[in-house]
Amino acid sequence: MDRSLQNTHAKLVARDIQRLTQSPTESNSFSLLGGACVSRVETVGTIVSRDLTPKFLKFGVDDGTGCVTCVLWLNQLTSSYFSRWDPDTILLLASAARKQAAAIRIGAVARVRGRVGSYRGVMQITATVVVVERDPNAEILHWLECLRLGQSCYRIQS
Amino acid sequence: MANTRIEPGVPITLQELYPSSQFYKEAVSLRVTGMLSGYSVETAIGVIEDGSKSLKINTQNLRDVSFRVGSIYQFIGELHIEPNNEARTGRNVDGIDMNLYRKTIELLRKFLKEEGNSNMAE
Repeated sequence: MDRSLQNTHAKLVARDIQRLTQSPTESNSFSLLGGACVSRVETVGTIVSRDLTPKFLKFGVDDGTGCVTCVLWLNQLTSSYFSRWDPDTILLLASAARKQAAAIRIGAVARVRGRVGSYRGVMQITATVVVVERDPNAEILHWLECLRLGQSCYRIQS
Repeated sequence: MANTRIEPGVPITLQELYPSSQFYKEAVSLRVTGMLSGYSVETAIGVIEDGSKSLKINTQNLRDVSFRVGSIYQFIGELHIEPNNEARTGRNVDGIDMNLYRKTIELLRKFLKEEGNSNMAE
Protein backbone atom coordinates (compact mmCIF):
# COMPACT_ATOMS: atom_id res chain seq x y z
CA MET A 1 0.00 0.00 0.00
CA ASP A 2 1.37 3.39 -0.99
CA ARG A 3 1.31 5.56 2.13
CA SER A 4 3.43 8.37 0.72
CA LEU A 5 0.45 10.76 0.70
CA GLN A 6 -0.78 9.98 4.20
CA ASN A 7 0.56 13.17 5.77
CA THR A 8 -0.21 15.57 2.96
CA HIS A 9 -3.39 17.22 1.78
CA ALA A 10 -4.09 15.68 -1.62
CA LYS A 11 -5.39 18.22 -4.11
CA LEU A 12 -8.47 16.65 -5.62
CA VAL A 13 -11.44 17.85 -7.61
CA ALA A 14 -14.83 17.28 -5.97
CA ARG A 15 -15.74 14.43 -8.26
CA ASP A 16 -12.64 12.49 -7.22
CA ILE A 17 -13.25 13.21 -3.54
CA GLN A 18 -16.71 11.72 -3.89
CA ARG A 19 -15.27 8.63 -5.54
CA LEU A 20 -12.79 7.84 -2.79
CA THR A 21 -13.21 4.38 -1.30
CA GLN A 22 -12.30 3.34 2.19
CA SER A 23 -9.14 1.30 2.64
CA PRO A 24 -9.94 -2.28 3.70
CA THR A 25 -7.12 -2.23 6.23
CA GLU A 26 -7.14 1.34 7.59
CA SER A 27 -10.45 3.00 8.45
CA ASN A 28 -9.10 6.56 8.16
CA SER A 29 -7.54 6.07 4.73
CA PHE A 30 -9.21 6.30 1.37
CA SER A 31 -8.03 5.57 -2.13
CA LEU A 32 -9.11 6.61 -5.61
CA LEU A 33 -9.43 3.81 -8.12
CA GLY A 34 -6.87 1.77 -6.24
CA GLY A 35 -4.26 4.50 -6.25
CA ALA A 36 -2.35 5.98 -3.35
CA CYS A 37 -4.10 6.23 0.01
CA VAL A 38 -5.04 9.62 1.37
CA SER A 39 -6.62 10.81 4.59
CA ARG A 40 -6.42 14.55 4.05
CA VAL A 41 -7.55 16.55 1.05
CA GLU A 42 -7.61 20.09 -0.25
CA THR A 43 -10.32 21.50 -2.46
CA VAL A 44 -11.11 24.92 -3.88
CA GLY A 45 -14.54 25.98 -5.01
CA THR A 46 -17.53 28.23 -4.67
CA ILE A 47 -19.58 28.01 -1.50
CA VAL A 48 -23.12 27.16 -2.58
CA SER A 49 -24.77 26.26 0.71
CA ARG A 50 -24.35 27.18 4.35
CA ASP A 51 -25.99 25.69 7.43
CA LEU A 52 -24.92 27.00 10.84
CA THR A 53 -25.71 25.07 14.02
CA PRO A 54 -24.47 25.70 17.59
CA LYS A 55 -21.86 22.97 17.21
CA PHE A 56 -20.72 23.20 13.60
CA LEU A 57 -21.01 24.93 10.26
CA LYS A 58 -21.86 22.70 7.33
CA PHE A 59 -21.27 24.14 3.89
CA GLY A 60 -21.13 22.90 0.33
CA VAL A 61 -18.26 23.62 -2.05
CA ASP A 62 -18.86 23.47 -5.81
CA ASP A 63 -15.80 23.32 -8.04
CA GLY A 64 -17.61 22.52 -11.25
CA THR A 65 -16.98 18.77 -11.09
CA GLY A 66 -19.13 18.11 -8.05
CA CYS A 67 -20.33 19.47 -4.72
CA VAL A 68 -18.51 18.44 -1.56
CA THR A 69 -19.99 18.82 1.90
CA CYS A 70 -17.59 20.32 4.43
CA VAL A 71 -17.97 20.54 8.19
CA LEU A 72 -16.21 23.12 10.36
CA TRP A 73 -16.57 22.27 14.04
CA LEU A 74 -17.31 25.15 16.41
CA ASN A 75 -17.64 23.25 19.69
CA GLN A 76 -14.07 23.46 20.91
CA LEU A 77 -15.11 25.20 24.14
CA THR A 78 -17.76 22.65 25.10
CA SER A 79 -16.67 19.34 23.63
CA SER A 80 -15.19 16.74 25.95
CA TYR A 81 -12.77 15.86 23.12
CA PHE A 82 -10.75 18.95 24.06
CA SER A 83 -11.11 18.64 27.83
CA ARG A 84 -7.48 17.65 28.36
CA TRP A 85 -6.01 20.20 25.97
CA ASP A 86 -4.22 23.32 27.11
CA PRO A 87 -6.92 25.97 27.72
CA ASP A 88 -5.04 28.64 25.77
CA THR A 89 -4.79 26.30 22.80
CA ILE A 90 -8.49 25.56 22.94
CA LEU A 91 -9.27 29.28 23.00
CA LEU A 92 -7.06 29.84 19.98
CA LEU A 93 -8.67 26.98 18.08
CA ALA A 94 -12.17 28.18 18.95
CA SER A 95 -11.38 31.74 17.92
CA ALA A 96 -9.84 30.64 14.63
CA ALA A 97 -12.80 28.41 13.84
CA ARG A 98 -15.27 31.23 14.49
CA LYS A 99 -13.34 33.67 12.32
CA GLN A 100 -13.24 31.19 9.49
CA ALA A 101 -16.94 30.43 9.87
CA ALA A 102 -17.80 34.13 9.68
CA ALA A 103 -15.92 34.44 6.38
CA ILE A 104 -17.73 31.50 4.81
CA ARG A 105 -20.60 32.94 2.83
CA ILE A 106 -22.53 31.78 -0.21
CA GLY A 107 -20.88 32.93 -3.41
CA ALA A 108 -17.37 33.19 -2.01
CA VAL A 109 -14.59 30.97 -3.28
CA ALA A 110 -12.80 29.08 -0.52
CA ARG A 111 -9.84 26.76 -0.16
CA VAL A 112 -10.69 23.98 2.28
CA ARG A 113 -8.19 21.63 3.84
CA GLY A 114 -9.13 18.82 6.16
CA ARG A 115 -9.68 15.16 6.84
CA VAL A 116 -11.83 13.26 4.40
CA GLY A 117 -14.39 10.82 5.72
CA SER A 118 -17.65 9.10 4.97
CA TYR A 119 -20.92 10.12 6.60
CA ARG A 120 -24.09 8.23 5.74
CA GLY A 121 -22.41 6.88 2.64
CA VAL A 122 -21.33 10.29 1.33
CA MET A 123 -17.77 11.60 1.39
CA GLN A 124 -17.28 14.84 3.27
CA ILE A 125 -14.44 16.97 4.57
CA THR A 126 -13.95 17.81 8.23
CA ALA A 127 -12.29 21.15 7.69
CA THR A 128 -9.22 22.21 9.62
CA VAL A 129 -8.50 25.31 7.55
CA VAL A 130 -10.85 27.38 5.40
CA VAL A 131 -9.44 30.36 3.55
CA VAL A 132 -11.47 32.64 1.32
CA GLU A 133 -9.68 33.06 -2.01
CA ARG A 134 -9.99 36.56 -3.47
CA ASP A 135 -7.75 35.93 -6.48
CA PRO A 136 -10.10 35.11 -9.38
CA ASN A 137 -7.46 32.81 -10.85
CA ALA A 138 -7.02 30.71 -7.69
CA GLU A 139 -9.64 28.18 -8.70
CA ILE A 140 -8.10 27.82 -12.16
CA LEU A 141 -4.71 27.16 -10.59
CA HIS A 142 -6.25 24.53 -8.31
CA TRP A 143 -7.84 22.74 -11.26
CA LEU A 144 -4.49 22.66 -13.05
CA GLU A 145 -2.75 21.34 -9.94
CA CYS A 146 -5.39 18.63 -9.54
CA LEU A 147 -4.89 17.61 -13.16
CA ARG A 148 -1.11 17.52 -12.89
CA LEU A 149 -1.02 15.67 -9.57
CA GLY A 150 -3.81 13.34 -10.62
CA GLN A 151 -1.90 12.21 -13.67
CA SER A 152 1.61 12.17 -12.21
CA CYS A 153 1.11 11.23 -8.58
CA TYR A 154 -2.23 10.01 -7.33
CA ARG A 155 -2.85 7.38 -9.98
CA ILE A 156 0.25 5.41 -9.13
CA GLN A 157 -0.72 1.87 -8.25
CA SER A 158 0.72 0.46 -5.02
CA MET B 1 -30.62 22.20 5.91
CA ALA B 2 -32.42 19.59 3.88
CA ASN B 3 -30.23 16.83 2.53
CA THR B 4 -31.15 17.55 -1.05
CA ARG B 5 -28.31 17.12 -3.44
CA ILE B 6 -27.01 20.34 -4.99
CA GLU B 7 -25.85 19.86 -8.56
CA PRO B 8 -22.48 21.39 -9.41
CA GLY B 9 -22.44 24.30 -11.81
CA VAL B 10 -20.61 22.93 -14.84
CA PRO B 11 -18.23 25.60 -16.15
CA ILE B 12 -18.90 26.56 -19.74
CA THR B 13 -18.15 29.46 -22.06
CA LEU B 14 -21.00 31.49 -23.50
CA GLN B 15 -19.96 30.31 -26.95
CA GLU B 16 -21.01 26.81 -25.95
CA LEU B 17 -24.57 27.83 -25.19
CA TYR B 18 -26.63 27.37 -28.32
CA PRO B 19 -29.80 25.34 -29.00
CA SER B 20 -28.10 22.15 -30.17
CA SER B 21 -25.39 22.26 -27.51
CA GLN B 22 -25.08 19.48 -24.91
CA PHE B 23 -25.34 22.17 -22.23
CA TYR B 24 -28.56 23.69 -23.59
CA LYS B 25 -31.04 21.93 -21.32
CA GLU B 26 -33.74 23.37 -19.11
CA ALA B 27 -32.72 23.67 -15.45
CA VAL B 28 -29.21 22.36 -15.99
CA SER B 29 -26.74 23.82 -13.46
CA LEU B 30 -24.03 25.88 -15.11
CA ARG B 31 -21.20 28.23 -14.25
CA VAL B 32 -20.89 31.14 -16.67
CA THR B 33 -18.41 33.99 -16.87
CA GLY B 34 -18.59 37.23 -18.77
CA MET B 35 -18.37 41.00 -18.71
CA LEU B 36 -21.43 42.76 -17.33
CA SER B 37 -22.68 44.86 -20.22
CA GLY B 38 -25.94 45.92 -18.64
CA TYR B 39 -27.85 45.72 -15.38
CA SER B 40 -31.33 46.77 -14.31
CA VAL B 41 -31.81 47.47 -10.62
CA GLU B 42 -35.58 47.35 -11.06
CA THR B 43 -35.70 43.89 -12.52
CA ALA B 44 -32.39 42.57 -11.14
CA ILE B 45 -31.63 41.30 -14.62
CA GLY B 46 -28.06 41.56 -15.81
CA VAL B 47 -26.50 40.78 -19.16
CA ILE B 48 -23.03 39.30 -19.44
CA GLU B 49 -21.00 39.12 -22.60
CA ASP B 50 -18.07 37.04 -23.77
CA GLY B 51 -16.95 37.88 -27.25
CA SER B 52 -20.00 38.06 -29.46
CA LYS B 53 -22.21 36.00 -27.13
CA SER B 54 -24.41 37.36 -24.38
CA LEU B 55 -26.60 35.89 -21.67
CA LYS B 56 -29.27 37.32 -19.38
CA ILE B 57 -28.93 36.55 -15.68
CA ASN B 58 -31.62 36.90 -13.02
CA THR B 59 -29.79 38.07 -9.91
CA GLN B 60 -32.74 38.57 -7.58
CA ASN B 61 -31.58 35.78 -5.25
CA LEU B 62 -28.06 37.13 -4.85
CA ARG B 63 -26.96 39.00 -1.75
CA ASP B 64 -23.91 41.08 -1.02
CA VAL B 65 -22.93 41.40 -4.69
CA SER B 66 -22.48 44.87 -6.12
CA PHE B 67 -22.84 45.10 -9.89
CA ARG B 68 -20.67 47.36 -11.98
CA VAL B 69 -21.02 47.52 -15.73
CA GLY B 70 -17.72 46.68 -17.35
CA SER B 71 -16.56 44.28 -14.66
CA ILE B 72 -16.30 40.54 -15.19
CA TYR B 73 -18.62 38.33 -13.19
CA GLN B 74 -19.04 34.62 -12.68
CA PHE B 75 -22.40 33.11 -11.85
CA ILE B 76 -23.56 29.64 -10.86
CA GLY B 77 -27.18 28.83 -11.46
CA GLU B 78 -29.79 27.08 -13.53
CA LEU B 79 -30.38 27.62 -17.22
CA HIS B 80 -33.92 28.55 -18.15
CA ILE B 81 -34.77 28.71 -21.80
CA GLU B 82 -37.53 31.21 -20.88
CA PRO B 83 -37.60 33.70 -19.33
CA ASN B 84 -34.23 34.26 -17.59
CA ASN B 85 -31.45 32.17 -16.15
CA GLU B 86 -31.49 32.19 -12.40
CA ALA B 87 -28.23 32.66 -10.52
CA ARG B 88 -27.64 31.06 -7.12
CA THR B 89 -24.22 32.62 -6.64
CA GLY B 90 -22.33 35.46 -8.25
CA ARG B 91 -18.99 37.13 -7.80
CA ASN B 92 -16.83 39.77 -9.37
CA VAL B 93 -13.86 38.12 -11.09
CA ASP B 94 -12.06 41.18 -12.43
CA GLY B 95 -8.50 40.07 -13.15
CA ILE B 96 -9.43 36.58 -14.29
CA ASP B 97 -7.33 35.24 -17.15
CA MET B 98 -10.11 34.25 -19.55
CA ASN B 99 -7.78 32.57 -22.03
CA LEU B 100 -6.34 30.42 -19.26
CA TYR B 101 -9.86 29.78 -17.95
CA ARG B 102 -11.07 28.50 -21.32
CA LYS B 103 -8.02 26.31 -21.83
CA THR B 104 -8.26 24.91 -18.31
CA ILE B 105 -11.94 23.99 -18.76
CA GLU B 106 -10.99 21.99 -21.83
CA LEU B 107 -8.18 20.24 -19.98
CA LEU B 108 -10.45 19.51 -17.04
CA ARG B 109 -13.11 17.98 -19.27
CA LYS B 110 -10.55 15.80 -20.95
CA PHE B 111 -9.17 14.72 -17.57
CA LEU B 112 -12.63 13.83 -16.25
CA LYS B 113 -13.53 11.95 -19.40
CA GLU B 114 -10.34 9.91 -19.29
CA GLU B 115 -10.98 9.01 -15.66
CA GLY B 116 -14.51 7.83 -16.19
CA ASN B 117 -18.05 9.14 -16.59
CA SER B 118 -18.47 12.78 -15.80
CA ASN B 119 -21.21 15.41 -16.15
CA MET B 120 -18.77 17.88 -17.61
CA ALA B 121 -17.82 15.63 -20.46
CA GLU B 122 -21.32 14.50 -21.40
